[in-house]
Amino acid sequence: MLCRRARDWISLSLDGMLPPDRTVALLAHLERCAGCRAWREEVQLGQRLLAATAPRLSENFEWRLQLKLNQTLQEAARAATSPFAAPEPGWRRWFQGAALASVGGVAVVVALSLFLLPPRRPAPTFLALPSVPSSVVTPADGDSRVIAATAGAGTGTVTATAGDATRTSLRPGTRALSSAAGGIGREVDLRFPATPGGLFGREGWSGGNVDDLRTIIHLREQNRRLRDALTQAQRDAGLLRAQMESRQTAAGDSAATPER
Amino acid sequence: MKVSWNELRPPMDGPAPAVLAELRDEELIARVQQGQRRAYDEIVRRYKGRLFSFIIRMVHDHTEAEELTQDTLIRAYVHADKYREIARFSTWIFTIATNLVRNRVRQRKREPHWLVLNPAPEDDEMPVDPPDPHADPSRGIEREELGRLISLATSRIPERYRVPFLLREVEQLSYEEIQRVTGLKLGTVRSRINRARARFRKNIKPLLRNETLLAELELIEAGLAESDGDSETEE
Repeated sequence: MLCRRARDWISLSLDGMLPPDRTVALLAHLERCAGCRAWREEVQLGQRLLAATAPRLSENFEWRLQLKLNQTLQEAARAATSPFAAPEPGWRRWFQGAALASVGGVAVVVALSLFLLPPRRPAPTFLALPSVPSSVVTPADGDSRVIAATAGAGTGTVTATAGDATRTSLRPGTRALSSAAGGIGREVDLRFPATPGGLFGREGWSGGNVDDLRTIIHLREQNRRLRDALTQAQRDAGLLRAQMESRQTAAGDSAATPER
Repeated sequence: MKVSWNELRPPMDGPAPAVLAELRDEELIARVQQGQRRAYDEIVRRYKGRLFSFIIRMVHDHTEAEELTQDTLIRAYVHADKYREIARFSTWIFTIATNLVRNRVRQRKREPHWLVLNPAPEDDEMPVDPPDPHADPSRGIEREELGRLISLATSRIPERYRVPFLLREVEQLSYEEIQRVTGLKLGTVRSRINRARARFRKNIKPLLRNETLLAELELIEAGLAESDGDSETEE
């Protein structure tokens, strides 16, 4: 017997899946082959190592499970009582999804074309000051932002300064103005606020604390009520759906019946 | 102030936990379907550790593994009415867990890797480095180190082999149950388990020559046997 086949059979025999006739042949091979004997022992040792190093759950696991279950049941109850909760046929959902995706795609294309394509409108006349080498325009309302417009003769370069930020645009006009006015060039902080470490932070259950135990009990009781409410809501929704369907069927039948 | 759980527990529906402990999983889930909350508590007690030890060896992150264990147990509760006794309950719940783990692994692959410090070697067949046998760390550290090395050795088994391997070695599911959970053919299940065992053996080979860690293994096993004996006496 080849050692490769013997090792396949060792694996099966460890799981009690090797037929008796093959077991005899395997044992005969193992008597002769020290390599396969060692292989079997190492695999068995691996099994022991896996069993001995089973990781442990945190102490507060059950508490967090209750909390999460509570939240899930609340959401499910809300969804079951929603008027939009009625199930729809698969093709209709697919069609709605496709329609939404295409509308979204068109919106993205339109938005990109608005922002990325060069503006066709000519520059506003008040920014074109070819006769003056440089000028400083101070807003009349006393805003702290100062717009310094420098129009070099023939270059058409406008520098707009808003607070600390300075941007240079190759086209005088709307972009520079919108940058200065906090439009498309505005600095936007896109970072999300810091996510808290769950409802109870990372500390979790301190263990043996009476308040903690009371909270768990309260949650369990609340979960039980929520589950009952969810079951009731689902039952009501099912009844309502059945009534509506029967009415629709009745209406369809009366319409289909020819008048005598 | 020391207060026992039973003192504070309000009267709940269903029979006492001692009665529930003798029921089969399928009987318990039938009681959950009837709305008995205590039956669900018993299912959580039986499966939380098993699910966690399977999931953590798939995702290798304690927090994430706990979250996925919770999600699995919550799904089992919310969708309890969808369970039919055509398959064993363990098969059903491990199918939920496997699907959740696969989704999470897929999500991870899609996420960009912004910063990788000390990246793991590409070659998943590279054996695990054993700790220095002449060092004299405390036993707790040795136990932790042993766990870490086994976790590392498991993580180096390719995912397609690891799922059936862990379902067999950790969860003791039968080949037919693994077939149902993974959706693979029986022959594929057999060959994948065999290949995973060969990989795992190769990964832990350096450990098998380390006498300190092997002595630690025997100590752990003795402790486990002792705690099993205690629990049987209590029952």
